[in-house]
Amino acid sequence: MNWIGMFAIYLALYVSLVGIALSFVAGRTGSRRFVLASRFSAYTVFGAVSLASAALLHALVTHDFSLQYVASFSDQTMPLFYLMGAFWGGQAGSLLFWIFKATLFTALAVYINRNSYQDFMPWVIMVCLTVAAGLLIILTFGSNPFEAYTVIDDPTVGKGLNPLLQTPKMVLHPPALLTGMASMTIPFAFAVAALITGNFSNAWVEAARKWILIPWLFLSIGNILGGMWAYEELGWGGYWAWDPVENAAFLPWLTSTALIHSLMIQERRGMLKRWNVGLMIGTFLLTIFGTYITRSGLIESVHSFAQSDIGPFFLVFLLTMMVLSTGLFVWRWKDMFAEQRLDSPISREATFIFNNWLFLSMTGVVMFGTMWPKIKEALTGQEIAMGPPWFDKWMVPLGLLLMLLMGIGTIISWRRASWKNFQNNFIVPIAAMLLISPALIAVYWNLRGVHLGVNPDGMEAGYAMTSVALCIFVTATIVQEFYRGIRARRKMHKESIFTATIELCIKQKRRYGGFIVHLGMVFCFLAFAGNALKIEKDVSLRLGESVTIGDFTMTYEGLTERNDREKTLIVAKVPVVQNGKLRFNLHPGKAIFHASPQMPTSEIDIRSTPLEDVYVALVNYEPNGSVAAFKVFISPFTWWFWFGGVTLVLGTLICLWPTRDSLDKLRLSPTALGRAAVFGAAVGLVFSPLIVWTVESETSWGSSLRFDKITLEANTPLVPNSTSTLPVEKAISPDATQDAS
Amino acid sequence: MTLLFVFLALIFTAFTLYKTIRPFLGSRQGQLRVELLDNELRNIELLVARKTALVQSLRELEYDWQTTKISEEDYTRFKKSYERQAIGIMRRLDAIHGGRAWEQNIDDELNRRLGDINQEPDPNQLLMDYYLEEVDNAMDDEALISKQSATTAEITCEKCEKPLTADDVFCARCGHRVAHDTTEQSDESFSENSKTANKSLRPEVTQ
Repeated sequence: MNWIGMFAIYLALYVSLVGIALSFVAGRTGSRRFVLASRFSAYTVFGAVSLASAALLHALVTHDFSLQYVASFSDQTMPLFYLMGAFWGGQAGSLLFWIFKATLFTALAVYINRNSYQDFMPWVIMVCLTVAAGLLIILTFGSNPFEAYTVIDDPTVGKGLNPLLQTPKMVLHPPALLTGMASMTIPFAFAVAALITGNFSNAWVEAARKWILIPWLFLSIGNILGGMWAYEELGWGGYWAWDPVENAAFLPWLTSTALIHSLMIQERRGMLKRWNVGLMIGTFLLTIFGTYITRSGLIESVHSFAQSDIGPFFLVFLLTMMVLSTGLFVWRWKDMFAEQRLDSPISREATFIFNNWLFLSMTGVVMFGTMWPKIKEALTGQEIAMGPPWFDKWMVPLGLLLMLLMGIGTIISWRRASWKNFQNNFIVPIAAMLLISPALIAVYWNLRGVHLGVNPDGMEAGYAMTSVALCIFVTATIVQEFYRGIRARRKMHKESIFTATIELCIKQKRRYGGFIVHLGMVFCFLAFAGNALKIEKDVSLRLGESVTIGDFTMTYEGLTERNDREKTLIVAKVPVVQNGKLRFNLHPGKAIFHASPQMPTSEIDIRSTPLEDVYVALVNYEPNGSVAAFKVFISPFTWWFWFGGVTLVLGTLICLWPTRDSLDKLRLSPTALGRAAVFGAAVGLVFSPLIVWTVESETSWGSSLRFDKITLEANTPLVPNSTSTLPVEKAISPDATQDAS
Repeated sequence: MTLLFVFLALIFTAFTLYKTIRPFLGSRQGQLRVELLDNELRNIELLVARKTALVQSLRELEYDWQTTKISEEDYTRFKKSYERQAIGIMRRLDAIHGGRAWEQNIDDELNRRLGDINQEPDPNQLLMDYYLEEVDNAMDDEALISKQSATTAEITCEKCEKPLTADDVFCARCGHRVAHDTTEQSDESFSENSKTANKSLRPEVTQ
């Protein structure tokens, strides 16, 4: 089977090179034969890469340890779910997955636009196949997943997947991010096609606007899932720590968000043509740059498991793409002139331009903070660290400014805002902000905040209160927009409020989907505001000893050791009492996988509610269980970050929801029932992380106790007569240790 | 299961590989036939795409106006600009299809609405309303476009049966005047097509 995979990779590389030549001729001559051939070459490359991917998946599922990749990242005890995760759990597999996604989206773009953008499409195919060919060269010569052992070295067992990666979120986080990065190829290809053809009309913008939302959506999902994983697995107590690799994924998200806004200006007013093309090229290059710094080992990070020696390959690829696209950009500089000028600095266009500057400033800050320690080390030999406080110092005020512009940009007039526009659109949101914010803060502080016993410093409190006020302002602008839209529809079509709301979202997907995305950001900023009241405590407790943090009293009630075939699990029992009543039991633990005993993983237990999260991690313990050290966090409003993420994804899906035209292009039947079913399924899918989050928080599935269920279910039916595979439970207590001795 | 994926991917790759080289495998004549690009169709696609973008822009403009996001001066200016562009597209589409049916139908629709509302309307507004409605429904339907082309192609001189284009006022062979007949014929075909298009859209509208 391995030879099929190897053959498929070589075939994909060969056809992609041929396809580049075919599409070049098609673009230059407009020859129908070459257009057809280049189109099918794109499909063939996708087919061949799919074949290689299917072959690798088959090798993983059938435990074919003759392949180095399979032996390195899987073992026979891993369930199917994690075997699939192993596909993208290693260097070569994740690169193959990237190429699979890039070619999949190329094939989709080619198929959907088979009858449109005829001047662009050959060039779009050429750019997409060039990217695919570049990545295939790295895969073939730098990191091939089908490298086999010689017969003598052929191992009989695999090494297994890194224990840190054996969580459901980690199986989903890399493919989401990789999909986001891979699909960035399509809008980039449209921008380069515009540069090649010299056609800077709205055509490329219309084409790219749809496609840029796809990578943006997947980058958002990937970053949120990564945040969830870090929050639950790494014991930081937070979802974002400005880790260099987190930053690498965040950079293209920032620039693509800026681009989504600035493309609107070009579409409506014919401005910002150079800016948009430049931003698109920059965004694509940042995806490659992020991959380069992650995989080259250039920077140290929690993602060190992704490092390998293919860094130089990516550097060459990055430089090649940079030189080619920047060269084209400079060549066409004079042709990209704005059709109109900015009429007034107080207008929607100006707000969007300011918002772009802010996004770019944030990109600059994150880039500087990520790279400066390395640059300085190279220049002076001096090692410096730029941690979360440095990033927060810059990013918090920039983020708050962005929130302000988010509210203003929603309601300000195009071209030139007037006093009348201010009266009509700004008075209600400003009044809401001035009245509701102090009331809300006062109510929260008196009913809940004061019991946490935290006194944030002036700066933190100021930022938090500003954030809440801006959240109210932005929410009020969105509510006002929905209210006016619904009112306008009801006036024109005599509809009910419900029908008008639905119709509004259907007829004006981009606008109202965008508002829902903004609402998601409001929820995220509410979570950021909650950080001002966050409590972090390191406590060491003797058996039976209690500690009170905020108004939660936690008691350490001993450790339990459980053994199974894969690991040893140490579980602590910590009942949490609030106002004299037992609220819940937490079970933080540590898992020591037999395959990698030097790398124990934390099994953190979190009880999450919209008001606050109670987060307990077992840090250390005496072997006899008499003393255990815990890290405890009380994080107000963290739940809203996940809810905001889900709302953001929902809004993006509304923007992306296909029109009748798009469905016709896909030759799908747009029956109302089918669309409703698909929409329902999509909404269910979007909210599923939050459902999982809630279930994990409220039940033992989120704590280390979940291993009990998995082990019993997985092992009992398989080896019914073997007692060794059943979990062995043993309470660790000082008495028990004495008895044993 | 994974073996099935391998098999399916193999079949797909082999099929698309064959399709990649197929344009170069046929006879010389066959290859040349492939090269004959349908420029008219390509133009229609471009115009229809532009039309879709204009309709979207008009919708957004209308919405901005209703929610007081845009001044009256800008609203009027943008609307006129979009209208001019839309009419330009209509004329180019007319030129492609060769019929004056569109113009006649616009006039009819204007008259009908004038009668309906019994007041002095803004002709541009009516034209745009008509445009939005018709362009959204009927013009989107590619079948209609091809049917329209087919219908205009079937026009012949009543007297000598020479095939005519819809632009012809007189028959080139016998000199018989044909303009009036052609318009009527196009009107009929348009009404038929509109009915077909509306019928095909109706289930979705009701849903």
